[in-house]
Amino acid sequence: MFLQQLINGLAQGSLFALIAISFSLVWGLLRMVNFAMGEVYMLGAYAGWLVVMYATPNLGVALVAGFVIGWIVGWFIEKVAFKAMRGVPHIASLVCTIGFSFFLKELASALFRAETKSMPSYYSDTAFTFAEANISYLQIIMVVIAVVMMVLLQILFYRTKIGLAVRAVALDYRTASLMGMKVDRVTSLAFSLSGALAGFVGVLAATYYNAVNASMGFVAGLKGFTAAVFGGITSIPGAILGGYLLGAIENLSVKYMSSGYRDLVSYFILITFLLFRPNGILGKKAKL
Amino acid sequence: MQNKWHSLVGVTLLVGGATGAWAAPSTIHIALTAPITGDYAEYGNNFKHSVELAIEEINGKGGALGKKFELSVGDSKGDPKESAILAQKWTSDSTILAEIGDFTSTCCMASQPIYNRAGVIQLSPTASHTKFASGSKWSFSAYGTQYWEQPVMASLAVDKLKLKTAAILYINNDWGVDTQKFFKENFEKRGGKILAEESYFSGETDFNAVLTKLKGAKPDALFIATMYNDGALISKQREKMGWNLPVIGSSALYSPQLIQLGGTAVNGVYSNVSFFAKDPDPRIQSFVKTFETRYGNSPNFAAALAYDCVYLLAEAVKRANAMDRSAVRDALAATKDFKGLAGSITFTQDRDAIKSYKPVQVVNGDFQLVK
Amino acid sequence: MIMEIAKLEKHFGGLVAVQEVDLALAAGSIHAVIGPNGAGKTTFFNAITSIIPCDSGQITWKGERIEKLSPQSISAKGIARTFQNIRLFAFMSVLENVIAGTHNHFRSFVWGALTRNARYRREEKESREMAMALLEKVGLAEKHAEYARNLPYGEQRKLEIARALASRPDLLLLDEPAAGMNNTETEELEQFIRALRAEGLTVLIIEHDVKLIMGLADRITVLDHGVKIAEGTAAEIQNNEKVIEAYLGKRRV
Ligand SMILES: Nc1ncnc2c1ncn2[C@@H]1O[C@H](COP(=O)(O)OP(=O)(O)OP(=O)(O)O)[C@@H](O)[C@H]1O
Ligand SMILES: [Mg+2]
Repeated sequence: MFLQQLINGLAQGSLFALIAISFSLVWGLLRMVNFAMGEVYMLGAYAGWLVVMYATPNLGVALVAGFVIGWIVGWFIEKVAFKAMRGVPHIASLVCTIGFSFFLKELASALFRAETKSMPSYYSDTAFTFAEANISYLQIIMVVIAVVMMVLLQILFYRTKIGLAVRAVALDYRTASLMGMKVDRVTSLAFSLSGALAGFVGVLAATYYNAVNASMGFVAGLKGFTAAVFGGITSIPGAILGGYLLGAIENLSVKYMSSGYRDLVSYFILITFLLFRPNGILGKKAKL
Repeated sequence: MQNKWHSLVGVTLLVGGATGAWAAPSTIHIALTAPITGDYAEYGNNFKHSVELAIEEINGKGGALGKKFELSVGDSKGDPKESAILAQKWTSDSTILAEIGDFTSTCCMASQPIYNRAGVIQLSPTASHTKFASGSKWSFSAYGTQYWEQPVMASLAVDKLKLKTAAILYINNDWGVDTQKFFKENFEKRGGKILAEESYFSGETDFNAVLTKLKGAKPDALFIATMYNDGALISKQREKMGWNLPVIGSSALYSPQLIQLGGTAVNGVYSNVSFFAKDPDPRIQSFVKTFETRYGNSPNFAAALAYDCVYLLAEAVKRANAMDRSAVRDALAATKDFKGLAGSITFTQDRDAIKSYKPVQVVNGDFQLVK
Repeated sequence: MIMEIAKLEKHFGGLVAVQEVDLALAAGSIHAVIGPNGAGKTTFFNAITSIIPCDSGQITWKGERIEKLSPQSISAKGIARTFQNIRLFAFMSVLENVIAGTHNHFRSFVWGALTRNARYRREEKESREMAMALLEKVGLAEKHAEYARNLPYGEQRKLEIARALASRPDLLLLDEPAAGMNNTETEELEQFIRALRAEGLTVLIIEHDVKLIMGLADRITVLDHGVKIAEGTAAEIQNNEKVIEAYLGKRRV
């Protein structure tokens, strides 16, 4: 069963890692945390659910819908909570994102009613069994998607001009603006991208857990943030590392302790790292 | 100065309270606390609809003691804090005779001290925690506790299905802990063996890890002490894992939503009912029909119990022949063989209902009585 | 005159960092701004490049008013600069820093990056080649893959100049480019700036190294306490009473 828990952990870790990247993106650019990220994820999940229930049972379309909704909501949050609040102390933006988190959650429960929606299963058959551990197609797909996303992001950031601009703005936005870079546009772009990523993961998670509800974002957001802090929020590789490690640790903690301790373990990690090693495992060295 | 203020406030309260009790109110004002929104919204709305229906019926027949019922509704969202806030609101309103609600034992117990202090009847249709009704002389439960329910499920598992071992997955709240405890007790009493027990907290969506762990214990059956929504989720994730075995739950699984959310994954799941919508009893059929045409969905057990609660109060008022809170409480406590939609009710010394339960099973996407 | 500055002013609270400064910059010239520490030279540059918006005054660039534009628009107009306290993108490679400087010259952005169309690929290739050529020119081609923060100080200054040149500016503002350079490097720098002028570039330079300035500058403006106290050729400035007083005056009193 160790292997099975490890596999569960990897699948879940993929979700954590992707949300953690969303946090990293925003952190890298603005040295800010968007606490509404979990709710963007939740709205993405609803978008995916609406697609498969009312439009087409195609999971690909659902994922795209989650991405698009996440993009739009991310864009909007940046405009209200960050752009409009530029020059105001950071704490105001932070509180504003917390406000957004509650607002979006209540909005979703008003729009969709509070009860859990059932998301159909996709690719849930066992792909292969290895030493008594079952690995489903969906689990493989999740890990593959996560890895592909990460590679795409690395390419975007390190092989393209937009990526260069995003990194430049993240490092020194004043100097970047003197290079002719449109700081607002780059920030907005990266913020939207982080939202899109969260929305996309929301659909993936909804499919994996077969559930969509208005409160699903809170824990997911907190776990994603934990993963980011754990691995190192200043860098995408750190966020990825944190995501997979957290997934593995959580699932193995269920094996060795009572499952009631699982979240406790995560939050213990969060608090410990915030206190003693806020730059995470990878530390400060690696930048976006 | 401060002391003067205190006594002034005290006098005002006293006078206010006294006039409330003395002035003969023109209606029988009752309050309903229910999770209209939130995770338990389905139950909450069933509460609200059936209580409205029952009041309409009673008022149509002239009410009780020549007075009509009047209803105030509050949404607790399934949150104990909200439930307690509503309790403050209801108890500070002297026109309110009794409260019906809340849905979960946790919510009921959070607001119990407030009703107790104020001396207001707290009649919960569904609180099933053994320590709830016994906790205050003003608290009543129409549901019957896990104490009466779980012997039925344990007997089903051991005597009928011939299952020898089981694993338990329960939600970590008052109700879940109780349910788990009584199932375990009764299962073991009949010679069964519990191989593993795991809990989770409200709001969890990932059951893969905990199911994997339970599966490792290789039990004959899985007992889930959960509400229908988690039950559906757990079943889906269990099915995906390829773990097929008899699944037994409590009456909280009995809901059309279980099937709607769980799809084929909940086929075969056992639950039990005190109220069964397909019961041919004409009284039940007429209720079901009215409810369905009015609200577009079929009533669940919570609806039937809440409906019974209104009639319980109406009958108590008639027997007390007074609108006094404490007289009505005494009359309610003396309820014997009340014939409700959800079985007959007799209150124990501790104001818990003694009831009977019938096991049901999901067969091809529909609940059926286990024969 | 390629740039004309009139009555430029910048306050920081009660402090007047730049006060009613006028300056006319001839196209293709090397113009120096000198003055004691805290005279307001860097602030003057910051105001020109809109890093810190000025309080009042006018800046006319090629006949167009630019004092209210954003830094990125100033950059787009063909004005580039370096910083006294080097501001490279520390966690980027040397090459990436210079490529960042080419930003203005390449149009396709999001759409191009998504589709990687022919134009986008051509632009990427061009900007890379252009950046390498500039690194070649300042002698950093070998180190193009290094993190900028790992270069020695003098080389970081060179890299900043290369990055500024990458935007193909008409006016280059250099804020103490020789600071932290050794003698050989300073001489190389002098040659380099002369070569830039030969290519038609206008250079506005702040420098404390008097030897460098006297040999290099066509015209010199002297600031003291935010006020322009003198302007002229090297010879004129060297004999100006006020300038001598500003630099040495306190000692005389
Ligand atoms: N952002 C700022 N906020 C407040 N005061 C400032 C700011 N920037 C500069 N100053 C002040 O303005 C005055 C001029 O500073 P500035 O940096 O322009 O001088 P400088 O001539 O470049 O000096 P140095 O030769 O030492 O570089 C100084 O008194 C400085 O303290
Ligand atoms: Mg300076």
